[in-house]
Amino acid sequence: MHKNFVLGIIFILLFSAPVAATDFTDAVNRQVSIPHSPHRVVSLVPSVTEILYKLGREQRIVAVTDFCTYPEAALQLPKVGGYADPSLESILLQQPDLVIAAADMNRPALVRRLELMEIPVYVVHPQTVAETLTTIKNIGQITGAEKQSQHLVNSIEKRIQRVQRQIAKFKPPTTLECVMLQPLTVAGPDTFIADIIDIAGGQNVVPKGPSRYPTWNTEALLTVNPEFIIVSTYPGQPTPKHYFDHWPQLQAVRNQQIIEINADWIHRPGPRMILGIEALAKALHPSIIINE
Amino acid sequence: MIQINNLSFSFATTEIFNDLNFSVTRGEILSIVGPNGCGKSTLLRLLRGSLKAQSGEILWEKIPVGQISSREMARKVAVVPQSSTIQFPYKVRELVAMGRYPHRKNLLSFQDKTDLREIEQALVMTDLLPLAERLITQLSGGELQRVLVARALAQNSSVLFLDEATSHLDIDHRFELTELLVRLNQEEQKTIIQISHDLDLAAAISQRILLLTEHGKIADIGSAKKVMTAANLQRIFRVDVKVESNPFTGTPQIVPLINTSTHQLTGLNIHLICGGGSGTTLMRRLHLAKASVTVGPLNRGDSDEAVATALNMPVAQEIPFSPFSKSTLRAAEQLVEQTDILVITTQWWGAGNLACLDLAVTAIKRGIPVYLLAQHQKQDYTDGKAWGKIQQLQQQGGKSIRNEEHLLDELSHQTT
Amino acid sequence: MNKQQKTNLRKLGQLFLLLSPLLAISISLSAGSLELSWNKLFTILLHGSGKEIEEVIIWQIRLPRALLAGLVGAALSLSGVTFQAVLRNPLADPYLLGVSGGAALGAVAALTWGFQSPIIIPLAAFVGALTALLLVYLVAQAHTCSSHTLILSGVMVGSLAAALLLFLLWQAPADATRQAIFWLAGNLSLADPDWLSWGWLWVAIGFLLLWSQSLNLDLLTQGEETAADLGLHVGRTRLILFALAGALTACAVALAGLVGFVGLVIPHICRLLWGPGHRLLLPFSALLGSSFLIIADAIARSLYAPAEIPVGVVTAVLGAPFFLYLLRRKGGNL
Repeated sequence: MHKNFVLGIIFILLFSAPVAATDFTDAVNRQVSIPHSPHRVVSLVPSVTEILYKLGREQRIVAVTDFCTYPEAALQLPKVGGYADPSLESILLQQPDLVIAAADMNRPALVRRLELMEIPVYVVHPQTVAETLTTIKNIGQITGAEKQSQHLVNSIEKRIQRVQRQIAKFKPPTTLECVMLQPLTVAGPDTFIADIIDIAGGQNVVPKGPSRYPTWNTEALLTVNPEFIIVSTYPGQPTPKHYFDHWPQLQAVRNQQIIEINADWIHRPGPRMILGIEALAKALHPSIIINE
Repeated sequence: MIQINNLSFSFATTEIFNDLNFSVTRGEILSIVGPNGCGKSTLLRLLRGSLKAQSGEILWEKIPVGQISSREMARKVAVVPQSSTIQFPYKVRELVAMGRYPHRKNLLSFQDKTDLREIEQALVMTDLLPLAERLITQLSGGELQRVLVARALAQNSSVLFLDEATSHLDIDHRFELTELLVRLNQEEQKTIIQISHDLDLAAAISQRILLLTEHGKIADIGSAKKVMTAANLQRIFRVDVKVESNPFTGTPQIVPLINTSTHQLTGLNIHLICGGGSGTTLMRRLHLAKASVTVGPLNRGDSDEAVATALNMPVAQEIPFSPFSKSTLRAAEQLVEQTDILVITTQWWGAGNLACLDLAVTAIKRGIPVYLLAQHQKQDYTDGKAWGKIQQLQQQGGKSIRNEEHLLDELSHQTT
Repeated sequence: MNKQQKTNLRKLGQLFLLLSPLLAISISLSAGSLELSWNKLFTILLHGSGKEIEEVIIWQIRLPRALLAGLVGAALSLSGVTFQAVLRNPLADPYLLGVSGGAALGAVAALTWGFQSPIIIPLAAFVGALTALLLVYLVAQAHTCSSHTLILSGVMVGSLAAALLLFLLWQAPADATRQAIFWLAGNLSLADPDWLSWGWLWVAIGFLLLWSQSLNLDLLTQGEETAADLGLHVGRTRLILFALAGALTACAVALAGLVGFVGLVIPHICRLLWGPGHRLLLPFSALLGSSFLIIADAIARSLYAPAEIPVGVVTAVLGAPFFLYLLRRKGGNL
């Protein structure tokens, strides 16, 4: 009975949608009917906000989350709350014709409620560099910026290829990526960061385990003794120098191979990931040439 | 030894004691008896200074109780409490050893020679030696009670307070403990103050008995012979007893007159004139005897009205706090007309309920038997009008009955 | 088994307990991401000869950490024993009377207000814990109230602190929040090794003072009224015991965050094994508590090495079944 009711509503929603709408399949295999070239987009994902700006679609964005900090212009847009708990009311007040959410950040319950209110929700779920490129293309498609997105993807792919060509001859050095220093939290395999390390010609030393971002202790650090330690913490953590200089036994400390990279570049599956790849590749293999 | 002068005490707004005066003599056994809730345990706590009185003074050998430190007090008095639930599984010996606390010299244990001797003696005296290594959580209620007595003995104080210490004991241990108390009193001159529900035992061993009323007043104090009278017990406990002399000891012995006969009043219609709680127990007993009872007139909210309604008895009701109106009296009269018997309870007579007596006068003229439970002239607040009517009723054949028990007997005769 | 054998067994058990921290430390020293044979371990310990990295790991990492775990385990167990006796409640643990809430609030407030210094956060936790306890003591008028009132007041103050904590976390930047959550879960890797000796001094003094209160604790288990009847100054004793247990908990919390379960279960295990008399219960709980946490930490560090699982997971998984087994065997009486 209840199920029929819900199905009925969905049925009505499908057929009462504007004529100019097109059906798309999103990253979690939902069918979403999105009006042609939507004009009031709410982005619940910082990386998607970056993509929309890069595609020149910033005038279409009506609201973003508190965490959408790049580009700086995004800070001026209306906010709907954090990405884990955006305010449903603030989203509705913007009268969006498209909401873009992320599968790993926004709760399914939120998506369902927006659905019931006949607001199209497109869910993205990029977990690797390749998937990020696909996401860029998809965002381009649904916002009527296909050409721009193709262009952007091509340019990123070209820069990746240039990096990969140059590093092919090197043996990948052992690399550890720290997302937090206190307590020491590192990026394991199956993370976006691990993919970036791989593409940039490093070898992630963190083995597969029960946690994607496991907590390590100093002993693990000393035992594994990686050639490079990448630190990409958000503000509010001890400085890497202060933290690692206690342990001159680490070869990365002796060889001054503690490398700081802007956290957004390697944490966010968006257009700036290429900066992360290039910076990391340059740090791991100083001889390569990166030209902007 | 202990002098209690003008002691007053209340918990929040409830007054427990008002202007209490008595004294405890060294070397005596004083039993405190009284109905439940009259403040016996509170009195013990006041005496040893665990509670502070609002006014008045308690002097221990002329020293105010407030000036005695808790440790010093624990050396003077040992308390045997009513046994409570025990959570921590100490051994019997360990618990008894705690009695040595006020005498301790060592921070960590009671290993002093005197300590060990006192503990051992306390165990022997209470017949606990075989249980010394058992856990107190595995003891029966009676065994635990003996452990608490042993702990108090280990305290080696000159005064013992017992708060119903014998109530959990089997009869053999109860006698043993009582004997022990008497021996401690006679041989070691220990002063013993005990709260007891066992009036016979209290009478048998106490030099003096302190009888408290329900309202925390001293009903009587003195030797058992003086205090344990049928009249006193009837007044305080509201029970019928006969006090005899114990043929062996000569001390007063209480023979309860518990009526074991059951009353059957099936089919008998009784109308009850009561009020202010004077008919509560009677209604309950009549209900149990299966009589058909009607009641009234009564104001709504009167405690008798609440009982009658709860027992499904028809009531002639008046609105609260008002004199009985004509219509209410009329309703009551209709109930009286249908009844076989009219009963008037012991109550206070005032302008408000004077009309009830007129109902009875009318009823007796119609030939309905009227029973009057004990009436007193001093309960008449109508300048003799009520008393006049009561006398008129008695002259016209109204029967005076001493108490409810007699009434029920009388009524059962009527039905058979 | 006759009585003599039983006593001998008991003596043996107690001897084992006395030596258990040493055993636990040796286990802890041999556990971790770096594979080290016992042979090697003893060579390094006795002769100090070994590869540099191995020496560093043993002396600068594993040993201070084992000592920290021992300190925290002892402090929490002592405090747990005290609270269970004073409150006469088997569910009491060191964190019951608002201590956890207060400590967490202090630490997280320091974190969210941007203090990063390794000195400020433990201090803030320490102050927070003691403030909460003092508040509970004052609110409940603890020198005269019943233990139920105390527990309820503690729960209320704890809830209040938790609410403030939630609010702080809600309005804090995400990074501080993340760090605070790790702190709340209990973590033995954060403490500055320089604090270790001070912490041990603190716990040792706390233990000696508590131990001198053994008999008072015994009396308090019999209820406030009986204790007073036996000559104990209940109000004053309670204040002393609260201050001591609070100071021990605050110390543990400041150094390691909220490590759960040790303070609740170790006192019970010791009571089941050696009875409730505090003269023995206090030192035995301290010994067993420290050994237990040292071993739990060793397991937490080595089970998924090089990754480390939260130590609270190990304490509960090890402690709960053992406790239930003992409870059944001893006939279900606490």
